[in-house]
Amino acid sequence: MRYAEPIARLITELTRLPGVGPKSAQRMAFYLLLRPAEDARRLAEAIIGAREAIRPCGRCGNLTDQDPCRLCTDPERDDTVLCVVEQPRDVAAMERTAQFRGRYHVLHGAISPMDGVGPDDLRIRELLERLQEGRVREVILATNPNVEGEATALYLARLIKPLGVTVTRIARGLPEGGDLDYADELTLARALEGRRPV
Amino acid sequence: MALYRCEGVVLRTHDLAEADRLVIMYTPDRGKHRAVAKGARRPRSRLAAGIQPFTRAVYLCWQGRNLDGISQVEVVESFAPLRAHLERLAAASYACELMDAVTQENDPQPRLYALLVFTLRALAEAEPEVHAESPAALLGGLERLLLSFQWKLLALTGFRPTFDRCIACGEPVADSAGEVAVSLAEGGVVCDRHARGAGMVRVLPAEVTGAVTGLLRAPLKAALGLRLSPGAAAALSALTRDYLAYHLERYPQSRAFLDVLREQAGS
Ligand SMILES: [Zn+2]
Ligand SMILES: [Zn+2]
Repeated sequence: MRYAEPIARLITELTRLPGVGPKSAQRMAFYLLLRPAEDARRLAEAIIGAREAIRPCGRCGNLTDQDPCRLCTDPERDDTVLCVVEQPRDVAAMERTAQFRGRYHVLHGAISPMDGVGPDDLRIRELLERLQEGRVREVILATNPNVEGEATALYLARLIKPLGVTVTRIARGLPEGGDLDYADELTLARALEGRRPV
Repeated sequence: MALYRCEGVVLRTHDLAEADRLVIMYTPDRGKHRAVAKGARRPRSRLAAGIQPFTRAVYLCWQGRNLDGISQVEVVESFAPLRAHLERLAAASYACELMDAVTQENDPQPRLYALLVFTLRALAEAEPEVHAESPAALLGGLERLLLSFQWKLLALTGFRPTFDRCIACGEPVADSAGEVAVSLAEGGVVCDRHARGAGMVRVLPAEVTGAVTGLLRAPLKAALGLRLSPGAAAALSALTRDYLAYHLERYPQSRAFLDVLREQAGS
């Protein structure tokens, strides 16, 4: 059957969300439409509020409501160790381990030759600029242990080592092929502890 | 649930909802084949290692209504160096992207599969005789293997070029001052008389068409020993690129990363 236009539009928008198929989108749409109007308004306002308040930190690239973000300005954190990750959600995963007290740099992606994603599409220039400041002594490459993450780590190691900075890679507690943000805290903490020079 | 075994090489994967991955592989028995690996992004997944791109494995699959799935993997050749060296990774990405572009599901071509396996093995093992540690030397060797791969791929998919006689009239073509005219559209050399009517004509050193003929005749690995004058090498790369783009109507995106690496190795 054909839905009234506003319903169809809502379903289309929900289908764009990651992991939401047409069936779930339909279920969510009808759920929202049968709840009190106030519920839908609260959800819509939360989405718009977050979207307008949150932006990438100009320094580390993590998502934040203040720029530079708290992780970049916290005086308790160690300026000499920099952890490089693919996505803001990976910063959250590392923070959950409570093992890392250095700073972060978020690349916003990983090198993926077949998808046409190259070094210029990532925040690599910003990373090199931070390293030029001279305070960082160790860069921990915490990209995903899959092909794209490995390619990114290899590429970065080659760029950074000539700068005289120690480059390490989080270790094999993480089996090949997995994704960082699906690792539990303990596995990730062990991988961080067992990092090795590359 | 119906189970079946199939051997294949993983061309690429896409992340799906939850922690699943969609695996696109090339198989000798089914042609291109797609299957979901449930939970493969979780660190404890027993499937994760065996569905990484470039892996050759035997898969135990279940039949789904819309999409089949992988329940077990037994790795035959992991081709680990292809994921551990940037240059090899870039070259393998290029080869697999091209395979993905030219093949279809339910269209098994065992010879294409064999070419892919030989190519990945050669890319994993290639040791350029000089300066093995230098990225530039390694990249040069891998690019030569890719040249051979591309021409063999074109030949197996029905685009084998004819370089020994005019493709229009069949007369032997005398090269004038070491140059020959090649029509991309006709797929071979053309004599003076037929060069005018033919589409997309390029005038090239005869050394170039000779090199392609040699690559097509020799085993893939022999490409490592290919020696050309700098001018002919550039013309061969350009001919390969244009010929491929003309007949396949697309060009692998992975080329860009190979070019990035080449630029850095040169500087
Ligand atoms: Zn920040
Ligand atoms: Zn002719």
